[in-house]
Amino acid sequence: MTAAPAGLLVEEPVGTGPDAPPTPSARGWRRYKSSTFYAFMTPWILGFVGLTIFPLGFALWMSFTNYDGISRTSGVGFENYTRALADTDLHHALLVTLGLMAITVPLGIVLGLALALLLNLNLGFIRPAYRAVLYLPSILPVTTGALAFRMVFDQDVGPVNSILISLGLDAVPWFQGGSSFWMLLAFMFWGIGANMVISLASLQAVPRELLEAAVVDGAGAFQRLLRITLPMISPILLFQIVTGVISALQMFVPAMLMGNSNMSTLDPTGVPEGLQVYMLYVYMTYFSMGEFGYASAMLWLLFIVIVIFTALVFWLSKGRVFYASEA
Amino acid sequence: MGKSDPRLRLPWYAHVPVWLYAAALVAPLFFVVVSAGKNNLEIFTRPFYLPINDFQWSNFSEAWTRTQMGLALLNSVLVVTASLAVNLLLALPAAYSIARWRGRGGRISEAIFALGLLIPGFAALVPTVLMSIAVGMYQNRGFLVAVFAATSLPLAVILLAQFMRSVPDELEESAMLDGANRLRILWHVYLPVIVPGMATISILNFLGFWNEYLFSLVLLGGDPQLRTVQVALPTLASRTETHYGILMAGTLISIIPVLIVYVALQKQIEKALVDGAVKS
Repeated sequence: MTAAPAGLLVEEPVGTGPDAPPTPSARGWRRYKSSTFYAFMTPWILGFVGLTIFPLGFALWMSFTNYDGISRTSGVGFENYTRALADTDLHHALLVTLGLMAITVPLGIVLGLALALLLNLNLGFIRPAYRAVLYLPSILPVTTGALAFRMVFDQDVGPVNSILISLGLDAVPWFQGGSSFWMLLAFMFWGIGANMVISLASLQAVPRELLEAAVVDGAGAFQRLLRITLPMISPILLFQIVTGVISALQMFVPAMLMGNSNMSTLDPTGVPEGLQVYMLYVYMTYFSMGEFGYASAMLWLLFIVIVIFTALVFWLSKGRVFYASEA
Repeated sequence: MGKSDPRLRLPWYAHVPVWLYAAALVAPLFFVVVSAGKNNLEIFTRPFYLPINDFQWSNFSEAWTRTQMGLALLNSVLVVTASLAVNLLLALPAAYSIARWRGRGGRISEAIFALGLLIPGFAALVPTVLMSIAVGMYQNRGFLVAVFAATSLPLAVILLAQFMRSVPDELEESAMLDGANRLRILWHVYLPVIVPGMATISILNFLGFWNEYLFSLVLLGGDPQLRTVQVALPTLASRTETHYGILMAGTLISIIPVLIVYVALQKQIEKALVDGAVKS
């Protein structure tokens, strides 16, 4: 099911809902005092309010001020927001990010599904090996992946350039300028195993009887995929689109690790333009320039973009996603 | 799988693209492993060479001492263990309340939890740092634990609540008639049932906490005494002295715990990922 709404749609056992007539099993809950409920919930509510809601609200407040932690703070109205709309560096960062999203989300899902379809076949002894290898990169830390990529594609000592040179080609400065964008893209596909595992689980939940009946009716493999399998797993595909869009739009740690020449500082300056994604620009505005107000405004603008895209995905999927509970 | 299996058998040549893809995925890891025992010249001139006879063990000791890896591993273990424990301790009662409370509050709380899943974590980064400074807990591992435990709560609570709904009401009622209070019921009736759910959450959280880079970097400010493995490792890469053998040796050391867990629990990790995706 999808990320948020499913949590709200969990079925209530009949007869125990708040409006249902009291049944024998409901009697016990009457003795469940509100105070117990709130006592059990309090630690979480405190944590959630203190470490999620409050920081976000604080960022919203900062976005309407010139707050920098040093000079006197005063309100500036929508100045930070109008500045962001005119900031060409930010436009560049947004373009890089949207490009990344437009490529990684659809390709990642299609490729993950293709691999899952393959693993769902009669592969015999090689299947566990496939699974292990294809899934492994997606559970490794981002630092490992970024460092490995930096070494493999290093301009001077990297094995990729060494192979290119031995083939009589020129060494490529992979991490400079716009070509670093392709490094980021390659890195995103490195972690595709998560898409694969989720798709595979949904494929295995497709009822065998349906597929067998289709075979009897003379449906070919492609028809079965199109008419039965894809509709059955469409909720999981939707889930992958939504989470993929959200994570692609706010992705920046790999870009920061791959592009920052001196990784030991908090200050990622000198990142090549192909790696300058939106959140990295926000991060630099916070930590390198200390413009907390402006950075917070950019953060909230990204929120709006995320909400718009998420809503768009849900709107476009209306009537195209099959939920078993509706059947 | 019987003869009527509608799934196809695959001709051998269909495997070729997958082999290529798998090779591309493994290649970076392959180079990490073989380069860990080489110097820069060998990495470049003989990238595929396995350094068996002249293995540079000094790369590992160099990486270990330069990053103060022992201390970093200890910090990581401390932070991850404490975060796992705090997360479960906070999630259990909250999940129980949500699963069993029929009043309006339960619905609303669950809705907020579900919304919590959508909030991007990085958005709270800077305000969280400012807050840690304000309460005097900047560069404090305890604060990092609190952040880890709290930010992973929504998923933990929703997953646990789903497991708890499978406990029949009658079981709890009879326990209550025997005079058990809520905490005892939680402990004796629910805990045994939700162990698989707790395992799922702990696996997801272990990977998330151990691999986490950004909050650890910013909240601990890169202090060598406090920093975790993920923060310590990138300090090996600096512009002035790029010795890739040492860097790769350090990388290898840092992923050994994850690799051990992966080899031991691969099935459970996959199941945890699927549960986290499907049930939430």
